[in-house]
Amino acid sequence: MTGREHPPALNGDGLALLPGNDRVQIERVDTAQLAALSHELWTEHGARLADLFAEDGPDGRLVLRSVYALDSESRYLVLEGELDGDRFPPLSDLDPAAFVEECEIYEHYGVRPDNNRRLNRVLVSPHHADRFPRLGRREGRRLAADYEPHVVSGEAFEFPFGPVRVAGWESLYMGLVTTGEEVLDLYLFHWHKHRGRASVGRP
Amino acid sequence: MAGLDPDRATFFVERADGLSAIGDTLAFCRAVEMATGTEVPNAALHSRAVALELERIYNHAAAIAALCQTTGLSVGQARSEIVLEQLLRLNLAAFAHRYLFDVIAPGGVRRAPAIEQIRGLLPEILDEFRYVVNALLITNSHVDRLEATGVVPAEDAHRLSLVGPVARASGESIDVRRDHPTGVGDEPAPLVPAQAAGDVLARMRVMVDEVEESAQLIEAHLADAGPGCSPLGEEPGSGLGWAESPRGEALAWVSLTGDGRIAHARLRPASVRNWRAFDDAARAQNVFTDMPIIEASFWLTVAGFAR
Repeated sequence: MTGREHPPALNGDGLALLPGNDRVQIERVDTAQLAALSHELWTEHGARLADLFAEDGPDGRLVLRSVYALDSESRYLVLEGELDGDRFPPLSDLDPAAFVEECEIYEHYGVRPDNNRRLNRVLVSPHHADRFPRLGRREGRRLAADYEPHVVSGEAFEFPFGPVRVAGWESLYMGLVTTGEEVLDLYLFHWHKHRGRASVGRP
Repeated sequence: MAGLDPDRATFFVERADGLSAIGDTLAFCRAVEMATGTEVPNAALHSRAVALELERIYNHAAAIAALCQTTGLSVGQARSEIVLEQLLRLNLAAFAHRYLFDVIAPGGVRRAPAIEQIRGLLPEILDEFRYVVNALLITNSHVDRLEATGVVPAEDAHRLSLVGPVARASGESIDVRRDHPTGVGDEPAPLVPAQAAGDVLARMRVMVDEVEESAQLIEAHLADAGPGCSPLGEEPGSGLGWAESPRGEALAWVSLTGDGRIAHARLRPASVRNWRAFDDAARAQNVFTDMPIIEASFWLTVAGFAR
C-alpha cells in the first residue's frame, strides 16, 4: 500500500497516478477538488467509483474517502481528505452511483453534499424531527426538506422490502405508479435505517 | 465494531449480510491483513477460495429457485430448492456450517474444508443442478417471463458502477477475482461469463455459467487447501480489502489503533451498489407481476444494505 502526503495536481496533464504494482494507492487530496478528480478518474482513467464514506479523523475533523477501482490496472485508488464545515462537493451530480453513499454520510455525520438535492432519510414525523436520534455525532446544518415525510398519492402504491419489522419502516421502500397491470413508474427509496454494525462495540 | 479485536469483529461482519458471509468476511480480513502487513499461509488461501466458491454456488442456486417461485413454476421451484438444500448440507459437511460462518479469520482460516466430503458430494449435486437448469431453459412459460424483463442497459450498468452478475449480464465484465487478484487465492483466474442482453434471462444464464466455473475453481483449490492462520502484524495502520462475493465486489476499509483494535470499520457489501439499479430495471416496460422476477434475478439483500 502506498500513501502520498502531497495532493495530486489537477491540471492540464490530469491526475498523476503512480505507476507500479501497488494494489492500493492512497492519495491525500483537497476535498474541494474531490468532485473534479472523481469525474476525471471516471472519464480519463476508466475508473469506477467503488465506495465513498467518512470517518472521524484524529483531530476531530471528518475524513472523506472515495475508493476507485482501476480494473484494467488491477489496483484501487483511495482519495482521502479532511472536511472543514458541514458541506462537501457532491459527487453524485457527475457520478450517480455516489448518491447512496452521500445519503449515508449525511445520516451518520450530519454533513451533506453542497447542493440542494434532497437526500433520502429515515422517514420521520415532521413534528418530531429535532428529537429524532441520529447515528452521527455532528450537528450539521439541516434542510427542512430532509425531514418532510414522503407522500404517495393517486394511483400509487408502496411496498416495503425485506423482513417486515414490528416497528418502524423498512430500509427499502418501493413506490409503484401503475395503471392496471402496467407499471408507469417506480421509485426505490433507500431509507438509511442502519443497524449500526460498524459501531458495535464503540464505547 | 469500533474498539473490538479484529478476530472478534468477524463475528459481526459475517452476520451483517449472512448470505454473503464468506465474501464480506474475506474482504474485511484482507483489509485487516493489509493494515497489519500479515501474510496468510498458502493452504489457508486455498481454503478461503473453496469456501468463496461454495458460497457462490449455493447463492446462485437459491436465486434460480426464487426465479421459479416468481414465475409460478412450482415443480421447478421444488427441484431447485432440493438442490439448494443439498448444497447447504454440503456446506455443513465441508465447513461445519450451512451458511459458512466461522470459516475465515484474520490471518487465515478457522477450519479447513473436508476435502473428501466435497469431492464425494458436489459432482452429484451439480448433476442435479444441470438437470433442473436444462429443464427450466426449455420451458417456454418460464423463459418467456425472463426474456426482455427488467433490462439494465450496458450504459446504465457502467454509469451506476454496478458489480457482480447484474453487471456481467449487461456486458460489464467486472470480477475482482480476475481484475484485482491477490495471489494464490485468486489463481487460476476465473473465466468470467458475461451476457449482453441485460435482462433477467441474461442474469440467470450468467449465474448458471458461474456455477460451472466455481466448480472448476473448487477442484483446482481443493488439493492444496488446508488449515493455517498467521498472527497479525504488530504495526497496525489502515487497509482496504475486497472479494468477489456472489453478488459482486464486496469492499471493506479498516483503521486500527496502536494496540491493534478497530478504530473504524467500513463494510460495503455488493447489495449497496446494485440496489441503485433495481428501480431503473423495474421501471421501464414492465408489468406489475414482473417486479418479483426482477428482484429475484438481482438476488440482493436488504441486510447488506442496512448493515
